[in-house]
Amino acid sequence: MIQIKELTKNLSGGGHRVDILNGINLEVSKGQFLAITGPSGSGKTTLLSLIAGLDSPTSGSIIIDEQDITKLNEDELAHLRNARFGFVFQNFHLIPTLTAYENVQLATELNGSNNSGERSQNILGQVGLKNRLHHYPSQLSGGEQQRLSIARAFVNEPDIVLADEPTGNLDSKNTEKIMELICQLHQSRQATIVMVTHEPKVAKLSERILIFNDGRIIEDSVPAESSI
Amino acid sequence: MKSNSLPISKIAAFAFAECRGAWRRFLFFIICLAIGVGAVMTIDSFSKILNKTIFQEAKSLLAADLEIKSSWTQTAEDLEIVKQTLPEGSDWLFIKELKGMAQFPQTNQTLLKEKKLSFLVEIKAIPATPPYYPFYGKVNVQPNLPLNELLSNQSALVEKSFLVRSQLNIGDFFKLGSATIKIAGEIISEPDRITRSFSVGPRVLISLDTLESTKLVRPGSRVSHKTAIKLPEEASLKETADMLEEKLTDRTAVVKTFRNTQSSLTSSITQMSEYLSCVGIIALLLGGMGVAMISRTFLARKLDTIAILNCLGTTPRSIFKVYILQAFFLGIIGGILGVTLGYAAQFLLPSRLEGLLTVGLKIEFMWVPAFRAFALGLLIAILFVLGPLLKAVQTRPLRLFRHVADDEAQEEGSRKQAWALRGIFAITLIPTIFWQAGSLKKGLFFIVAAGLAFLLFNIFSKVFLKALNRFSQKGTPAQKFGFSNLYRPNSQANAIISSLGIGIMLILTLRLVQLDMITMLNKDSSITPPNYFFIDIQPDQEEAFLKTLNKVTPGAESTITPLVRSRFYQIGDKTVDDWEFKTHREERWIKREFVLTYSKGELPKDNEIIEGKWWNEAEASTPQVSLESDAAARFGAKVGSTLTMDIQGIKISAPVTSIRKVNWRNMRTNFYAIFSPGALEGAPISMVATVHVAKEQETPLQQAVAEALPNVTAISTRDIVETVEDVANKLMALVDFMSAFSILAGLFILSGAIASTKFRRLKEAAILKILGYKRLKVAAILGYEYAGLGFISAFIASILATALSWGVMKYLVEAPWSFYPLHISFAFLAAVFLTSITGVLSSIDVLNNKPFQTLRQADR
Repeated sequence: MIQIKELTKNLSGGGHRVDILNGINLEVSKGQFLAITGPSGSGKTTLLSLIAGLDSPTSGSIIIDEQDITKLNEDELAHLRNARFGFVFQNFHLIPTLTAYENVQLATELNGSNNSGERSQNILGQVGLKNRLHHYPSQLSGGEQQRLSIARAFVNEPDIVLADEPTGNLDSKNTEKIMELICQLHQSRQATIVMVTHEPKVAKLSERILIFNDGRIIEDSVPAESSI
Repeated sequence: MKSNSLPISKIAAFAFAECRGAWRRFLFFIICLAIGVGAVMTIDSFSKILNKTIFQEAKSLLAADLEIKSSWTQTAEDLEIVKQTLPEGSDWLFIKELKGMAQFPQTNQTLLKEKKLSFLVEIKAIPATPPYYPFYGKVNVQPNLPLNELLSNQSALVEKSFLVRSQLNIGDFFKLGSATIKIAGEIISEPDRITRSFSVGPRVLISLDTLESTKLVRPGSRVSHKTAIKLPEEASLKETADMLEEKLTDRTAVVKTFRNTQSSLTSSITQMSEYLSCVGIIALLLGGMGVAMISRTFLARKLDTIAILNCLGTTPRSIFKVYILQAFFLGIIGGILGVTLGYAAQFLLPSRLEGLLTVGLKIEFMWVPAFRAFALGLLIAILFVLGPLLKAVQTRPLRLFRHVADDEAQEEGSRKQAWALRGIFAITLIPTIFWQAGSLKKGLFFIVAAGLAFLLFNIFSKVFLKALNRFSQKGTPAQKFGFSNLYRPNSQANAIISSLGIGIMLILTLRLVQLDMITMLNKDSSITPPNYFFIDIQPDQEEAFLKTLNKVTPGAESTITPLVRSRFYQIGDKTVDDWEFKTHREERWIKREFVLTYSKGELPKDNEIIEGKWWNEAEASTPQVSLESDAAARFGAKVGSTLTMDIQGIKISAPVTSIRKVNWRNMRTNFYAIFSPGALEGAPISMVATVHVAKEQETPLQQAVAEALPNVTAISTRDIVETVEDVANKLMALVDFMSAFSILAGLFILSGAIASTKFRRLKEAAILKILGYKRLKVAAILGYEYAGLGFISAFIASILATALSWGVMKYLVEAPWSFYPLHISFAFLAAVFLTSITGVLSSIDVLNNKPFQTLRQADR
């Protein structure tokens, strides 16, 4: 499903060049739950943003279902994101002026779904926010805000969900709940999930773990069964 | 692949949702815009109201359909021509206007002490028999009785200022020339007197019979003879006026229709309003800058939302639509508020013009100016939002994955985009400015001047900020921190300095030029001795006048000059009738009345021969004339040309033997043409005396002359200067009123700019408080920052205003320029104070917020 070939990303400035990604080669099959872990500055988030088409690589290609997304323009990338991707962020990134329901509905409307209202309500029910539909993000707890952001990510039934430290701002109890939810949605909706995390316990809940260091994959493994 | 866009209903709903919690910023947006719109609306609408009133009252402004005005009484021949030319059913009456001295009974103890027993009055004499003056409009008097009744039996109606100055009451008597006159009532208003601005004395209304008994009118007296004509409804106004002008033998007569009066008045109003509307544009542009600043702030807080929308697949176009729609609605609200503000401001304006205008103004809502101001406001709102918005919609969703160092930093945008934006500004703003300025020349001048001002402010403020950067390395921590706030990234100090500074510069320049003008008037009258003009001295009164003068003020410096009234007739072979006038102004100048004099051989003071030779006493008997250089150029005369002037029908010719340069500002009697006595022999003359006396002798001399020669009028140069000063002050009040809009806009922009960095300030203040800074110390930091802003704005503004006032005085007024350190210092301190206060007051919540709460909010 996702094929990454010889992907490099470097930044230049002040006469210096910093290599962020050094020739990454990777294949992620459909429906796989992949976790990327590694120290800060190892290139995890950069890889995620390149997969999402939010940044452009220095060289190499990213092929999603036989289409090289590095060749797409901004409008095409916008459509691709809306049609096939879902995002979950560490800082939730919800629209503060919209209610929980409106935040989710906005995503479905952009997707052009017919029964956007019903779908939004269903997914909000699934993440346990049925009673919080008309609350603004500022009126929700951290855990609730992340559940809302997960609902927004899954509402359009995307093929790929990209999650950047989804539990980074949560306590252990909420981390457990959120990971349960992500696994559950992964099971039920069969989406490919690429998740960046610092926490080994969280990474172990995935089906495959990549460990990054200095812009390279230093380990590609399947975790032993574990629970948080 | 097709991109995703939201339907318009969803865009509108989202735009509405995005207003949540933003009302404070939106309020700034609305107020900034409303101030600008209000300024434009006030000027446009008020000048329309003035013009409308003048159009409606046009006939009463002349009190007739037609008026023939001349310096001489109408001859029997001309009267016959008038009778034959006017269509059947026409009516006419005669009016005489002149200046005279009113004297009071010596019984008044207060006045006796002050020795104020006479003063200059402006006399208007009207017929006591039908047809009565005025044909149109009404003279409002107290008691409300018919004019002919009030003016019978040597009675007069006087203005309130006459009663105040003389301390007389209705029913009391005063002397005018040789007659004793009873005050029958008070004049409230006259229809044909729209402005009282340049009158040197109060109005006295008498009948023509009473005027005769005063014996004020003598040969050569300065009297304005008017024939007011009322035409029948069907008669053609222009045709009749043209015919009269052609047929009348008195070539000095000016035929005026009520439409002429109206158009000359409306063109003055248009000129004034064009100037003021430039001030309006400045206020609007400053408002626009405020809008840009607040939009930038608002959008900076929306960058995450924009990035999320981008992440969800929304196109930048859809995001652009959301926020531009919001700006559009805010523009509408700001526009409506501005129009309301402008409408309300008009109720304040008539009181500012009190004494300047006597027409009764009916303030009403003017739709066209309202729509115009509203449309301009909306345009400015959209234009100024465009820049920040185009940058904001470029926000890359990548920011959601990164913790950006400056949360409020926006994408810089491409060079192409920046040029496109400048292009949009140019093609929209430039025609708008031309439209508002009213003429290509004025519009161009405004654009160049405003562009230059912005450029200079930008350069200067960058230089100052750089200097401050160095300076702030030393000093207390509060100073260091406060000053460093001015040049850190995203500080907006440049924009605030430019907008505030331009406002300060405008007001200060106007004030400095006004001070220079007043000094010029005072200086000229003090350097050159005459402080009194005595006019209408008859040739046979010269001796009596000198005797009186010597008796009261022996040894006083005085000059007696003969005056002859004339019209230009011919230069070389070219007569006035052959003249091809290029402009109406040229025609007016050539056909004007020229007051001539003759000199036996002494070149008058402040005159310099630049061509030819001045005659000596021996040559004075040969007819010859000396022309002033400007007049020579206008007549096309050279040394050797023959000049012919028309003196009451008699043509007097003399060769031009010299050309002079005259200092017209010397407050003496100056002449375009000076003849040798030989040329003007036998012409009807009167005399004017210029006298310099010590201040304490002014009133006794005036009184003595009034008693000895009741027909002679004394005009004090002090009175003239005071009158001009008074008018200048009233006009300044109007300009100040308008400039206040731009200062207000500047302060709002400052507030807006402070609000734009509020979030960062809140965080910083919270950290400082956690580190142990007390509120007073945090306030000191803010104080240094805002005082710094005020200091730089005021400093640059003071330098530029001084330079500008110098330029205006040197090149436009062509008069000496002075430096006013006191006024500049005052403006400077006031600006620094106002800026600091506005800054600290706008940051009250930064000072009061609990640090923990603030940091939690900031982290959300």
